[in-house]
Amino acid sequence: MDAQYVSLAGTVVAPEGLTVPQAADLASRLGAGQIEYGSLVECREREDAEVVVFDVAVELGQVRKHPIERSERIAVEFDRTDVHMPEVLALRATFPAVPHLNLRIREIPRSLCLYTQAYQDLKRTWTASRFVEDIRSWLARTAKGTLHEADQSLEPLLLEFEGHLILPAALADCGASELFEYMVLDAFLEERGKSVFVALPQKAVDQEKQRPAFVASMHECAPVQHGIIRRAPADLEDLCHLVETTGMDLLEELRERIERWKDAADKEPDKGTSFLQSRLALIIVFPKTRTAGGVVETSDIWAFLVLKPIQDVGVAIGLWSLAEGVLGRELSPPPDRTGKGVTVGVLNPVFRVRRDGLARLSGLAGGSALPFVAVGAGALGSQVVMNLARAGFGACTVIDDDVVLPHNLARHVADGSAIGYPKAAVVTEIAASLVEDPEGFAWIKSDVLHPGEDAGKVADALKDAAVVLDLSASVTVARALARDERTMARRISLFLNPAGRDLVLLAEDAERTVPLDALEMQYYRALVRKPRLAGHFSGGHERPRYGQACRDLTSRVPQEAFGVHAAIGSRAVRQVLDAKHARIAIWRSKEDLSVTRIEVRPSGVGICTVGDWTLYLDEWVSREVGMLRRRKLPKETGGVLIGSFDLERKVVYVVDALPSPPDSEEWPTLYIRGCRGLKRRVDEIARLTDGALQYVGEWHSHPDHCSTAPSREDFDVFAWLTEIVGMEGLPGVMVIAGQHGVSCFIGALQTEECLVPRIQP
Amino acid sequence: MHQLRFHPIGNADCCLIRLRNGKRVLFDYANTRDPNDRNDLRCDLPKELRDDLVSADRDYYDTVAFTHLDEDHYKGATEFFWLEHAKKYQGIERIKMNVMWVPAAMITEEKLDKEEARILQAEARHRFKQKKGVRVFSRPERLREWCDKNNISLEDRLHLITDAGKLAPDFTREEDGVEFFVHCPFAKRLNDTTVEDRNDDALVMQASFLVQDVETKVLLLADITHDAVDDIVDVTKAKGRASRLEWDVLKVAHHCSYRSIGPEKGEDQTKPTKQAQWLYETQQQERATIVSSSKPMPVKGSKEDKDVCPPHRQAGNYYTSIVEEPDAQFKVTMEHPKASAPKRLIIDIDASKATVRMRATATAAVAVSSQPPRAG
Repeated sequence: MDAQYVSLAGTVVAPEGLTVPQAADLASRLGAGQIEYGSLVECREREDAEVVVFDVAVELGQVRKHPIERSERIAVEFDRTDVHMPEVLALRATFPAVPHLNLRIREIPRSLCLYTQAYQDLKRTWTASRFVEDIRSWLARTAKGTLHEADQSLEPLLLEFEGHLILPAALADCGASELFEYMVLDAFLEERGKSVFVALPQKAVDQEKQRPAFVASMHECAPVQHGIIRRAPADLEDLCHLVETTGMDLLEELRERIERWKDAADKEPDKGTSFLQSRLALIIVFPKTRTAGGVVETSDIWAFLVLKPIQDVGVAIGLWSLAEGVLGRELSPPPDRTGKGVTVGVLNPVFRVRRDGLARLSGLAGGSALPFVAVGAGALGSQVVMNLARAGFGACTVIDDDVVLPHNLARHVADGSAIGYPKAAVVTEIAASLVEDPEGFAWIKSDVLHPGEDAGKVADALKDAAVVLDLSASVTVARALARDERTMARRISLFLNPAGRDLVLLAEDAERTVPLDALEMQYYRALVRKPRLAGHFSGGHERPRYGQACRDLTSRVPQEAFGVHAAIGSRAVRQVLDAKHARIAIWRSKEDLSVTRIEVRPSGVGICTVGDWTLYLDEWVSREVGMLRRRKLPKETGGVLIGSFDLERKVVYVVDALPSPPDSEEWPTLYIRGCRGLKRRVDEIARLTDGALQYVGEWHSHPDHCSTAPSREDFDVFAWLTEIVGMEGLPGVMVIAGQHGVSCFIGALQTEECLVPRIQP
Repeated sequence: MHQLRFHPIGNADCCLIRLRNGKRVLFDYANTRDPNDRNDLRCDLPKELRDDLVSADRDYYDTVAFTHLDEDHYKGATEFFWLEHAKKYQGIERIKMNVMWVPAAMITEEKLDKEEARILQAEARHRFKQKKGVRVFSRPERLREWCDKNNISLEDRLHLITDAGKLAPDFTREEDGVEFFVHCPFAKRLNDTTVEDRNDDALVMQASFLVQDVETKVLLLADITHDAVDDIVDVTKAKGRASRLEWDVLKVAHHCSYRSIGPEKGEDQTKPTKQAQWLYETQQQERATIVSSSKPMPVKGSKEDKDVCPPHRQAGNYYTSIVEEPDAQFKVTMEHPKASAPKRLIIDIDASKATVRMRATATAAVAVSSQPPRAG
């Protein structure tokens, strides 16, 4: 073959003489001129492989990032067993060092890395013409520099390697600081397949007594402009030669370190021998600059596994000699003992991730440092917190007072080993273990409402939070958090309905103008008003017992329901945090495994305090009564008010207004409410909302040009009302709708002092 | 990425320019294929153009340039394009021309012998009268007589006229990544007071593309002869605008006719005039591409070789001699990728300047760039 090409081993055969099917197919098609832009040169056979050599014409622009030529000669080596990817070699002796080459023992001919898929996956679609086209495309895009990012390093890729070496992320930033000079490796050895080595920074293993079967030595050379490792080293001596060009004396550094480490190990009983029997991994950092003498912008990190015990390495590099099983120290290393014959394998370095890394792996720009408190680490809570942690959220304090019990394992992120541990601790530990920077994860085993001796810790966590995520599945906790004065944080609730079918999201706006408890009431109204939400509270009332205590009840909702809804919930939380507005949404999972979303538009809310009582009346109700009033003008009309009393906190929520019953008397100056069908409707509302909504009072309208101040008759009605509701200790609520808005009475008083200031819709 | 597409339509011109922003400019149109001849290797031009427009969800060209009124530059255009001047040339299948580019002669010429040429002239005149949808390349004064005769004001139409030595204002580097510099038609200055318009001149332009600060220059020579080449070179050099005649891609004049190189055909290779030599050789950029929109080059002594019509073997030999194979290339539309099965010649223009596409037809997807099909 031409002198400009690398000569190949093996004997030349005719295309018909090839036996590997792909090789024979490629050669015969090339020979017959069936492959565009490709022409057969020759075929060869070797013991282990069959080789097809051909020329390809390459599509080239005028400006070339890498000097690829119009015609390139390619050899494809087909492994006889058809297990390995056919190796594609560029035979031109001057073929440039470009990105996406494979690391081989020989640098030339260069081995093209064509595919990211595994060979067995490619085989399904392999055709000779497509294969040649892929080679041509690789060459064309390499010439343009578009095969990979402009600043990708020219380091070759690993086609074969001994195993993965997992390194601290910090190492990639700060290079070979003293912290990483000596590291013990946790080894997971595989007879077949790839081994895994996990580097533990020295301080983490100081106390460990187990013998270090594998240790790593880190070295850093002077900054270089181009990659140094362009081929796999044959042995330790060869590796030392490869890095010599950077000015690094790897051999001398190794001698000094091994001697020092052995001396240190000798000082402790038994450790000296075990050190000598351990294996050595070499991590070499090559800081890279764009220009000569420029700033270091990146580092290439290479790792090699020395395949002999340190004792043998010491002999091979002339530190000591072994005579009749006894080590004798050399005064100075003999010149011929430079690591020859000490085989080294290439390791594939992989870095641990930080929160930012998790975020990027989730397709996000970066991790979130937004501090949040998660209240509740149950089935839904633990999974939502884990989803957020996996998306790079990190500054999280989990508050929960429960511990993991066996029945929790059906639905919780905890595994069996966590039984007995606090749920908050379990979730936080798992989340923190994902990343190398677990700072920010914290947990408090406490009841958020009654923290007892943890009051200070809980208060601090709430005070510092930007978001309080209520995952408690408790109305009491959510109500308390809504009005919790320990924090200014935006509050978000996520919970499932009893049957585990519907996920409910209640999220305050960033300004907190619509508080969480008001959103809760609007969610109840939606249950009444939106037919699509029918059945929200039906089912799921069977509660299996897990213990002997009265309240040892759990649910029969399967993990699938929690999994689906936790995924939607955590994503919804991220969406909410990206926006500023309030949101009420319900996701309903169906029997056919589809999920539908029902959005409820949040309404602004007016909040007033009269005496002991606080009244919540939202704009939606004001609009509704205004609309009913206008429809009946010039007559007066009215009806009953639907809402909820929170007797503990003395809050009355007015959520809905029912229209006038058909047996009412409506006159231009008088209204007497009837009651036909009213009880059935109010009972229905209670059923739809699982008792959350009930009758709270009366409303009626005044004609145009009249004030919304109560008339004499209105005081009589109010007296009647307060007498009835007063029997249960509840305040009377009366709303009067006029031409320009509504007025509202509340309380047991019958004078105008009990008039709530007008709430404009 | 911008793209040029030269269509294999024999000795005829049709170059589609697809701009990075989706705009499309067509230089000439000639549907030359004989639909009844199954062995006709010329492409089905209306189909190719329609397929491209459909892929871009368009039913119009931003600009269609008719470089001159020779049949091999407009054949079938009156069946393909939507013409404004008469209802009978309108229909949903027809392709609209937002702007027509025409040389002055297409407005002023009086004795056109071909029916289709007269229709296209009527269209150009109609648009010029309507003051929209046309750009006339001319010295403005040259149109005065015609305007007067037709009772329209030249002054009202100056914005539709672009003189040689100027940029066509319809495209800008900022918005479109390309500018078109007009070389021809031009008026030759005879002395201080007299200029002479060249009536037979076609539209000659340099399209200069800009991608990531990399400039790629395409010279489109229509059908001009060496006399016009000489004048263009002299004028452009005199004005100190030599860079406007640099080229990375050259669409050679008149389907590889020797007359666009020099006065004598020569035995085996045409000898260029001094100016032509400067244009074709000195102004050629590194690794440039020459495109001849023509039939295959004749073999010496063959019947085609004796034909007076282009392509001329001697001209082809000249062009071949001035490109340094394999890095620079001389491409003949009816020979690409092979004479037995010509396909449209596609030239991509990106940060690596001009790249002649060489893709195997069967393989659409490139596995190198594909993602693993499943995640889990």
